[in-house]
Amino acid sequence: MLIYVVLFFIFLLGPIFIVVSISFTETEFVAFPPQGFSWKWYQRFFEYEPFIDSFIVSVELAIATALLAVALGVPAALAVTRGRVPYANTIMTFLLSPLSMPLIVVGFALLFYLSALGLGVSFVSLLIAHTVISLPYVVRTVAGVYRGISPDYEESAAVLGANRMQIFWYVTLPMIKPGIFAGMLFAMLISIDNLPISFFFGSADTNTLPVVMLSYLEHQFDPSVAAASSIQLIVAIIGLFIVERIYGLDAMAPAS
Amino acid sequence: MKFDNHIRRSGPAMLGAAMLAFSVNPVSAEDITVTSFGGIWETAIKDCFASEFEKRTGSKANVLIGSPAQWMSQIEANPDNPPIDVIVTTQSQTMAAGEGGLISRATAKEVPNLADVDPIFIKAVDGWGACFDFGAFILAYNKDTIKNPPKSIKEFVDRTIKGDWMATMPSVSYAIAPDIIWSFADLYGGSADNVDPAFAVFKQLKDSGNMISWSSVTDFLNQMSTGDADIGMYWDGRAYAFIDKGNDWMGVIKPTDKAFMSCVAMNKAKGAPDAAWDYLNIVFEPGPQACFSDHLKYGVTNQKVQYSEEMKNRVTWPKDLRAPNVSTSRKIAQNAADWIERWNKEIGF
Repeated sequence: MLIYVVLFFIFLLGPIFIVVSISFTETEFVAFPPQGFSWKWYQRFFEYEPFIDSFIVSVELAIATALLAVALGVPAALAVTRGRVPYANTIMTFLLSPLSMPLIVVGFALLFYLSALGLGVSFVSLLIAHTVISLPYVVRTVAGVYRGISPDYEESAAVLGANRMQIFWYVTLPMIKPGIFAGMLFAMLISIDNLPISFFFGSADTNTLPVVMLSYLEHQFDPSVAAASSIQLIVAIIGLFIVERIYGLDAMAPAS
Repeated sequence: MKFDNHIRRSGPAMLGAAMLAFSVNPVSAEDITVTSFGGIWETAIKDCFASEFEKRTGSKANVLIGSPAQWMSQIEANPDNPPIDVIVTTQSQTMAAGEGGLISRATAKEVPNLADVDPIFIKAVDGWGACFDFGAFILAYNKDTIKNPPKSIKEFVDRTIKGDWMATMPSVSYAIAPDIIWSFADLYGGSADNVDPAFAVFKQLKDSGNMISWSSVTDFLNQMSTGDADIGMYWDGRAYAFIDKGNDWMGVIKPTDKAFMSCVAMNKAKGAPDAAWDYLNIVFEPGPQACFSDHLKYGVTNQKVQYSEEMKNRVTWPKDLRAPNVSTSRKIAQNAADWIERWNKEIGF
């Protein structure tokens, strides 16, 4: 059994280990095992303006996407899970449908749809597109947590005179927080890593890091893309660390 | 409750107004958006063309990094107000963009410097503007392991089959694989209508066991650097750029039986402002072109360009290039899927 666990971790962590180790190579080309040790590809990352600019756009976009997905996804999940909404299952399937479609198709379709609406290639279009693909993660996690909570708590609050807003704020919200945090975290990670959607909405001001990395990788052969990937990884780890410190990762599991 | 109703009534309108406000392009009417690939390409486009445009016009040229498929989709989705003013495309993409109504046809009237461009690079894109730089598929080899390199592609093929070295060439997944199939057919007496001679050569190379393949430009350098390959077909500019980074163990041979040529064009998107013509005129001007060539180590297309001494010896001149004409290019595009399927069945790398 232990051997399977070890193999599983090698399978998951092996590629990450290779990318990170390549980012410290001294050579001008990507090679494994890396030769020598150097920080120069990290220096290159910070010196190459499009990397930094697109990195900032990616982080801003990930945060905005997570917030918008929560603003839309939490009410939707609550309504569909326990509200008297006709065709609740159909609506839930619709909300989760972006998961089952190739992202490049979603991106292409949204480009033409949002352009027809007059939003064109802009940060708002990019934000809407990222929210569309992040929404299922928020809806799924919040709905999962909310389903596990007995309706008795909300009914007791109502019996004691709380209005709907008070019930949500003082009873429901504290209990579904783990689902919201988990959904936000997924939304951020999905957004920051996304290429097929961002590919169609890049402008000179709104290009994201994965799009710039792809173009760089196609036309330049140095290992600075490995450094960019490692920095992305560090950002994700810092995000998880912060969530762990302020909330606790264990608490985000729906079963807790 | 009143507040709720107010929000319910005016909320969508406010959201829509806010979205439109945020989506408005912040650039001024005179500013343009031009395109570039990433890395050294972007540096060259900024240093040689965009900065020159800004110096002369006082307007800004915003550089968008990405790829032609992305840019063409964006123009197609916004035909009345294209988010891109100048688009970089490969030969086949240029013709597709022209025939699809995405770009304006540039002539020497709109872009005076086109008058000095070698006609081969105008014909290469069927008159949809012109290519501004070009690359030759030369032979790059390891000087430490090959003391007597081949002089031609035919010699490269023969000695690979004989087992003189381990060679590498592009795999079928590489973007221009169909063009390479045609170039071998053309070299060995076939044509775009008859690629049997090319496949016969590929089969011999595969059966020899002395051939591997690369699927991206970085793959090739890795194979050469790690010793997996001793020699291979590669782009001249990229090979020279690699050598200039201190890898002087790599040598370059311009094949005597002509190197396959591929070029990159730049065009004004339909509906883009006239400032895009000014930018294109700079792109085809001798000075900025020489600057671009020095950055990327590729040849450029204006015949009046004064190359640096180093580049003079490096550029593969048009007379030494093998390039399909327009009708052949169309046949290559038409047959590409069949050729790739045949490659997968018969060759498989």
